[in-house]
Amino acid sequence: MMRLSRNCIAASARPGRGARAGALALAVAAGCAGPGAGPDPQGGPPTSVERRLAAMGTTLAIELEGATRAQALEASEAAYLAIGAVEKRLSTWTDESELARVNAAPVGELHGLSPELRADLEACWHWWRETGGAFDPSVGALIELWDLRGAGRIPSGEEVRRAHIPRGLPEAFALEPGGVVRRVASAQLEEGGFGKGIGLDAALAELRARAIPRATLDLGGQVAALDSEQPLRWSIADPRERSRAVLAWDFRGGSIATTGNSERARTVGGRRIGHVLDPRTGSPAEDFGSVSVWAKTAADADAFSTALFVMGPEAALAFASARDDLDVVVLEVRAEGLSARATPSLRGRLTPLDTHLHLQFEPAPPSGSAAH
Amino acid sequence: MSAWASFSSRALALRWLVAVFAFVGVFALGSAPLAAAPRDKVFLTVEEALKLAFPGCTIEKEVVYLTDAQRERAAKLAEVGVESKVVRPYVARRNGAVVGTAYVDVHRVRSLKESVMVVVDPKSKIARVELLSFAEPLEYVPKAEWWGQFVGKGLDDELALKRGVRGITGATLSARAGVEAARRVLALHRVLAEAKP
Repeated sequence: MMRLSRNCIAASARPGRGARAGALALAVAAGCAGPGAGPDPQGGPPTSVERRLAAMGTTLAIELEGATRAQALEASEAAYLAIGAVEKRLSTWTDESELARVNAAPVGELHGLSPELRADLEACWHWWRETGGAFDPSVGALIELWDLRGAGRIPSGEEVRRAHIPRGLPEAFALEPGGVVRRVASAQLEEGGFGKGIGLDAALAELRARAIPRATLDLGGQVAALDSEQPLRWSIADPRERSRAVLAWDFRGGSIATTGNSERARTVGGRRIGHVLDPRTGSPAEDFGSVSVWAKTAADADAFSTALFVMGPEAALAFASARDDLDVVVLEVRAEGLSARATPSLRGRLTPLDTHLHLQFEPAPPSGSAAH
Repeated sequence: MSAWASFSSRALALRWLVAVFAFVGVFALGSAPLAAAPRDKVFLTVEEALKLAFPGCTIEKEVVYLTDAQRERAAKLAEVGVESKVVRPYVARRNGAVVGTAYVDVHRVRSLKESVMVVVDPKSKIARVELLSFAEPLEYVPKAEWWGQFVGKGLDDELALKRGVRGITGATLSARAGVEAARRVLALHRVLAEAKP
């Protein structure tokens, strides 16, 4: 082997061809590249940056504008690192995260928490209460039992009974002023229903702190964007084929998360197993299609989309109609084709991309509901 | 004779062209021109990506020519082809200590190329993966469940489709290209490490 040359890399970054010309195409905005972005102190036009990185076991797409390319790149890196910090805290794909250490803590002993993980867990308790237990991250043992991170398996009823914690999160864990206590041996927290949302919120906070005027982040199919005066457009995929968009959704910031099985379902012994567990039964939730949820924060969108999928179409729409902080689209795979039902607050902001898609709004809009 | 010198011979140039157009799916890691074709979507330059990945570090670009035996060993370790003998690792140091090594893998996705920067940490695990350019239509950029699964994995981990890394319905070629790139980088990194005194 010959080592022929060594060159030091220049410290100064130069904009790449094409990258400067890139528009915010991920969230295809009507007139998205118009004025209003932060001005360059030297009077130049704002610069957009697009990046595609690995994060949280999936792909992170970042598109943002900055006053200069250097500022936009620095901000995009801060957003990426913020997601990385959340992953380091919450990932249960490793034994080294803080959440994994909680799962390994001896039963009955108080385990200290960082302020960040405490906030994450307090949010989990909030979502558990709000959804009547349809959102419950204490299903880690059941996920392992059904091998939902692997090829899948059908456990026996007795195995499910042993791993299932009937009263859910508060029976599994106690959140105390000084930390958290694992109450039962099968109590294992799992970040799949909320981790990406918390990561996206952390990333957006970094961008806001840097006064980035326009940004859209796509983390494995969940989009989050800084508030925008101009509408952003996001597409919802066919739950049977994720690469095919069937519905366009206009929004002006916040986050849209979708929960569905898509190609993540496993088939074991001829039985299709969805990857979303119903924490109330200990078995995979019924696979009807998908639920997409808009919320002001990405964490809320992530957690509520998980819970509403578990609830099923009717309960999901009823849940959303009783509050004004969520917009919901339910896609159902029926014998006659794909149908979409949406909360009335989404009137005028959904466009079917498939001529065969039947779209309806229900129930009637509550008075005083706001458009997001 | 160096690989570069032999590359200039007509016979090998023809062989190279045949290899390119035959779509063998394996491409020159570091030896392909880093400048993108005019139709490429360029996200970051190599310099930008390195500066972001290694803030405050000195970065040395090395050019290493593999022997035939080393190339064959890398291909065997990677379980994918390693066509080029030229490897260009970017070694980042802070206070004299190596904090990571970056490689730019240029490979074909369907019929056109993408370039991906893969950073390997001092424990020989993948620490960062970033797409630098993509020549296919952007709808073929895998949207999810792709390189993210590689981070934290080493060559000995189950870094293959249908084992440690899930495939991507509708983007199988993208997934396969990504897995192969990751394995190729880790294999070359090991071969280079073995050659160091």
